[in-house]
Amino acid sequence: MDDILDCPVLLTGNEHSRFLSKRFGYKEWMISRFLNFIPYPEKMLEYIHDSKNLHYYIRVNTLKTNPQELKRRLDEKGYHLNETILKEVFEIKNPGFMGIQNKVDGIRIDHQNNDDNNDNKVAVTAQRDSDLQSSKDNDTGSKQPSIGSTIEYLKGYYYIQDLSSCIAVEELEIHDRSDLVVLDMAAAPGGKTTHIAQKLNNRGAIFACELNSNRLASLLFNLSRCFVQNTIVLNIKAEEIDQLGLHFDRVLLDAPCTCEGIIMKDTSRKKSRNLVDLGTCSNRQKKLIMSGFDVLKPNGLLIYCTCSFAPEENEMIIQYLLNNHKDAKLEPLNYGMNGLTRFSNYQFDENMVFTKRFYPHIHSTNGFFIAKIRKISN
Amino acid sequence: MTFRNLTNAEETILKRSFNNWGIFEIFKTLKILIRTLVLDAVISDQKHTLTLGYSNGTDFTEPEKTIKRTEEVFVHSNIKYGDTLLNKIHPVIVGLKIGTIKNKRFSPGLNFAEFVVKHNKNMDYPHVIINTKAESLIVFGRDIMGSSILSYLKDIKENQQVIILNPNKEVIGLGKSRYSGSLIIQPNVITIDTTQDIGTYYLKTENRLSKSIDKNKDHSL
Repeated sequence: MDDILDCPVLLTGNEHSRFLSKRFGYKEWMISRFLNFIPYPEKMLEYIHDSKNLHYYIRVNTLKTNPQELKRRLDEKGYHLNETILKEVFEIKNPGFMGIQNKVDGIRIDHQNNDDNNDNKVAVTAQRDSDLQSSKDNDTGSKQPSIGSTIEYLKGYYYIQDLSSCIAVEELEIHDRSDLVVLDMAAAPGGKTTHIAQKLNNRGAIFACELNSNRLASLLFNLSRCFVQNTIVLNIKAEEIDQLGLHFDRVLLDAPCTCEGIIMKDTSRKKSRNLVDLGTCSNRQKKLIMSGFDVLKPNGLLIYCTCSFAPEENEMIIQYLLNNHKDAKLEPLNYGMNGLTRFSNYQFDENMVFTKRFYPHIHSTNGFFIAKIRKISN
Repeated sequence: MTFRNLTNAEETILKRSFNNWGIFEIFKTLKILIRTLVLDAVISDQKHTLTLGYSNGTDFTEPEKTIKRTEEVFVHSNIKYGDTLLNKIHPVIVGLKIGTIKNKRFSPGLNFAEFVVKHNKNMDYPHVIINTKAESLIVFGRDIMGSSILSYLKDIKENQQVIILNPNKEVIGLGKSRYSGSLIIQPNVITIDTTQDIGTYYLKTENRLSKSIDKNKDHSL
């Protein structure tokens, strides 16, 4: 099984996949794969194609304010907030001009957000879209300042973050316990790290790993902006975390991936990735999940997530862990559609249905995958 | 990037500062760590100079006393790890930076101001409250005109560090007064220089033009 899990699966295309590829501007190998495992794939492609379908979410930073108070303030500023399945997360119906350009003292400032899953690309994309569709923006707040440039944002009262990312942290089962030690294996720009900090109410400890020095600045800024006091930031390869001799009650692995799930926000990904990239990501994810599981305490929880649809980055990674660790046990999750139990010719563990997938056209979120794994205590 | 506990001298400096800002009682509740930042020193190989960096055991040609340093002050919420482990894992950051100690003086940062505003309910610390119109400019570095000030602590002195608050009494920056007392509300004159503000990060990282209005290297964290 491990050999099988080593390589990306190339599925044969047909006339329909070629048609969809041409119509929506994707590489054909992506479409032929989507047709095999995404529910209502044509609907998803249509949905992603229309920028009106973009959804924006903010997570209230409860270390600094509370959902009611923030909602009141943003309501006063003209933002329309809808509640979601998580009480601290709101959907923003009119996020404003996300690639906002302010003029201060004659200096033009281009703001971008520093949120998860390359959502900073949202700013660029949304800006382009709103340039092209200024008439449409009249009712979605073209004169509204960007939700990423309000005083409340700068004060750290909220974080711009997709609902699916928030669900991943929600599933970590952190209930304001002071003694939990949490590992965030790929922390920058800090969306999930700051979320964990508020779940811990600034108690316990979070070890946040980020190898890329360029991304550290955004992580440090967001930790400071959100008033996080319980985090130790490490500039190391997360794969080597086991060399530090530390063990954790919770591990969050939001693995670096091909980001197929955020094509709606970064359309360049329709063509910028190839099968080699998929294989590279998949191999790294296997190393990461093995390291993360190794440093988990008995009875500890590991949440694995990606913003990719590819089974090679999702179910196959989980299967690889299950194959190699008999003390790894999948646990059910509360939200999303069941993970795949088979892909192409491959059959996965029957408990793979406990993993969850999120699709833009079904859940109004990024494409996302979450798995919850418990390390069984002997 | 070694973190260590406070020396007695540093503890005294910080206690005095916490007391001056009216939050002495929270000092004992905070866990504080120090990290030394070398401002400028020649490394013992004589070929290199360390500027704005962490020594990490580097040997310098200059005597210890003449090396220019600043001590960065971090608070953390009771992270139960000793110096040995912290030094083994070389963390980039532990907890939240609240300011720096240089020349035996504590320079508060924005996060320290947050503690002050949260815990000193009497508001008897040096502060100005500015109007909403000025707020959107000040968060991106503008200095404060006297006419923008809605209220202030009456006995503000000249050249004193002040916390800049918006009408909701939230910290939006730190500044230095150019005048004392009621002179700080004189119209059409800049009366407070903004030294740190909550929007600086954007100016520093998202826009290269920011260099022209970046007043303090120690702004962002």
